[in-house]
Amino acid sequence: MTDLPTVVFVEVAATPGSVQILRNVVAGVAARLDMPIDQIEEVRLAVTEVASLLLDEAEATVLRMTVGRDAEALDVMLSSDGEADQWPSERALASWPWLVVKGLTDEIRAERPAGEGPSIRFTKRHERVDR
Amino acid sequence: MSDRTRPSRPEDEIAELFRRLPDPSAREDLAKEFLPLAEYFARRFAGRGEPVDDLTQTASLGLLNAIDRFDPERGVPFSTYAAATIVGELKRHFRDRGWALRVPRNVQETAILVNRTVSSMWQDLGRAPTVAEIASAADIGEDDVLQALDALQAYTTDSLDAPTGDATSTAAESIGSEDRSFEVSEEWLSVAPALRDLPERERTILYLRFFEGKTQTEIADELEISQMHVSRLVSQSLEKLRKQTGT
Repeated sequence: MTDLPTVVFVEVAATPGSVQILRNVVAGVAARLDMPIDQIEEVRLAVTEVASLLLDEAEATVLRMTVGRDAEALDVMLSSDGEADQWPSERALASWPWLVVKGLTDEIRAERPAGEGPSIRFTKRHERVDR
Repeated sequence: MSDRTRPSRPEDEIAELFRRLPDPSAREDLAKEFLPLAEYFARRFAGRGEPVDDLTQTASLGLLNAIDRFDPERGVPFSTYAAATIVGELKRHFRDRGWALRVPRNVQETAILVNRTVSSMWQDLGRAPTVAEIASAADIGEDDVLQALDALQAYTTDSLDAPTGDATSTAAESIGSEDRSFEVSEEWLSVAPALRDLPERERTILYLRFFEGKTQTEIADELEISQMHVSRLVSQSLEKLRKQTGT
């Protein structure tokens, strides 16, 4: 689903509580990439903001998250199964979470892949720490 | 308890003050006399993830309650009675903050260890450490580090910056740039009205980070605080905003 090799795919109920699960999953992958913890934190925050934006945009029952990675980057896509007439809406693009995720990540895109509802994808690159 | 926690006035004067209660000036004098006792217990509860200032305030509240409820007739020394009330108030504070209930004790301990390790490594390396680096420095598993970081996050980030003995730098940091203010555009505030309710420093940091697109390092330089502090304030203020908007 992402450009980078997929390492994790999770589906959770679309509730604020399960966003915590998504945050932890993504943090685990980022840690294994040897991202410094401030960047891990930014990825977690980005996932939280994206999830809240998607849940705000359309009634949904599930959230899906695909995490892809290579040595330099993390590619995260979140999708809801909600119905939105127009995606991305102007409201979404002008929203606070969108602005925040744009600042926290290297790239953010709104997508609607076949079979999915509103989706947001972001890429976070990092300089690998030499050990 | 040391001599410093004892009141400076002689016992008979203290007894006289108690007799004058509920006279407000007597109450105030007693509070002043026994403040070192409150501070003593506040310090004993420090280093568990709560800012010392909050603890002192809580302990002082316990002290005031003790002054109001103390009955000299019962023959118990006031300091003994006050100590129990103050400790009770401090314990309730921790319970109310959800720390003791939500986070198991062993995770709390690991979290405190991880928090200290992160602070010193961040300073030594000049950048944030990785999970693997923290794990090897603290001699614990990587999963434990992740769990601890999560616990620290689920709790509050700001309180962890409170000095716990050796780390006095953060307290100093917060003084330096308190007066720094920025013209924050109305347009920006309209994107998230809740920004208005944030403390000015957090609003400034969010503004620089997400409106001007500055990096954490640039913001740290500009505000003359550590990058770790910037990172934590960003997380913390985003968390606050989300709570306010209810998502």
